[in-house]
Amino acid sequence: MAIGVETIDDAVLLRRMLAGDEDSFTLLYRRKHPAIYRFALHMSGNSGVAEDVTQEVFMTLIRDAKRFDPALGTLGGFLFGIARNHLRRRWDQDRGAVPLPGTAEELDAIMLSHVGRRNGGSSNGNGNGHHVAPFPDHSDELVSRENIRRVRQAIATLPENYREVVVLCEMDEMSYEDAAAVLECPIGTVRSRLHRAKSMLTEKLREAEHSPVSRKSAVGR
Amino acid sequence: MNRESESLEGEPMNCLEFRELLHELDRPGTRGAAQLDTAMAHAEGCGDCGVLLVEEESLGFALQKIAQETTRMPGASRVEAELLKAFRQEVKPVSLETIPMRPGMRWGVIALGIAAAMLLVLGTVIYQRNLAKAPDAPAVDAVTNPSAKPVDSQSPQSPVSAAQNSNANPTANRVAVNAPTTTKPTSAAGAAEPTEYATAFVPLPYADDPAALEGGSVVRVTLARSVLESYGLPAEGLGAGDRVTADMIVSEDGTPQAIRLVSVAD
Repeated sequence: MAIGVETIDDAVLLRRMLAGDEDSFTLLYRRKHPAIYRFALHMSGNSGVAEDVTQEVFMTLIRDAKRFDPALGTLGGFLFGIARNHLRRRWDQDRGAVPLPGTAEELDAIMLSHVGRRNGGSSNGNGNGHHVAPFPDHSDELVSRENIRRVRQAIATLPENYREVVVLCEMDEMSYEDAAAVLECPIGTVRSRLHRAKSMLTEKLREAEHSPVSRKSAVGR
Repeated sequence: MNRESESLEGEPMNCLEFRELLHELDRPGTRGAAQLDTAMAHAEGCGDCGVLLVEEESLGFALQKIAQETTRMPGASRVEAELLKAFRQEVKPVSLETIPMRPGMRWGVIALGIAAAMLLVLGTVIYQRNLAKAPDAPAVDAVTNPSAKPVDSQSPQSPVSAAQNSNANPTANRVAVNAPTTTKPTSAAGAAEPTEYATAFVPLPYADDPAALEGGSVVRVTLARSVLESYGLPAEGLGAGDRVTADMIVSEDGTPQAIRLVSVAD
């Protein structure tokens, strides 16, 4: 079986995986791990923890895939649920893993390294001393690097239950229904939490924009 | 400020409604997406809501950028390698050939095959019977033949008990085919009528459920000797004729359950 065939249904891959097909497992991992990692990263604020949680999620899938019931939701939702449980267990064990404003710097570094790779290996320039615009397309012009940094920091300071709806519904573009299945709450709760979370983010961004520290930081960049 | 705008659909939207739907204007399947045009019309005419819309779009773009840039896991390859190692240890490949089949399931498949063959034979017999119904060739007894009924009604054993007894010692019954000590007259109509001798009923290989015989009936058939042999019954010593008369117990669902040979003596 060729790896990378995106058209194969998750359920089919899971069945093949349960029958011992290694390629199907690899394909599932490659298909699903980015979203799981992103969720874990934003919920933990720590790339090491996010990587561990991602690995634990797929280890659970290997050992306990039969627990997945398609009637109760998608495979993606099932995996997010496992990730959420692992994160909670870690938070119970180690309160230090709860995202703090300080850990936001790590996220900044991760994001800048991505931009650098995309622009030819340098995080802030092209090697000729000229600044390379991080987002060359039209929509990117609307969002400055500084704005993204503020948004990321604002997300990190949201309460956990608001932060997870933002990550699931906005970053992973999950429907209210799927998010409700992952979070084990009513759809109306997801909708109202998202509404509240985005209002909080907007408010935090307004405050950050008008704070002297933020202005200084933007000028410094 | 609480201005109202007229949408293309004719429903106005006020600031309160706009702010309620603002966060889901770009989310398919929501009320906000359904009223996008109305909301945009309102934002064009309302300065405060216009600012909110710009902030919302800016936040949306930022969230998408953050999502794109936090997707790549630095140790993805290492994690993949470790997971594959665990996968090889935990999950063993299974091929269809090695899937264990429950004994009942295996017998079920065999019985199904035999039943199919029996039905084919019965169909052939019934077809031949219909041919034989022609005025000049009344040769085959079958389901509706009245002569078959006396065999059942006058039998000292019911079909069920006969078959159950046969189940107890099928080998003996097979021996009895060549030793007609178990014969019984099938008609009391007098010396002028032919006398029938029959063996005990021999259960067919898949007929392992005596309950299946409840409500069954006896059917007289004429079989080719080769078919008889295919049921596992010895056909040698039955005479030179190509065809053999037999009674079959057929369960309610039409599946043959047991068979006995019948010999007619004038």
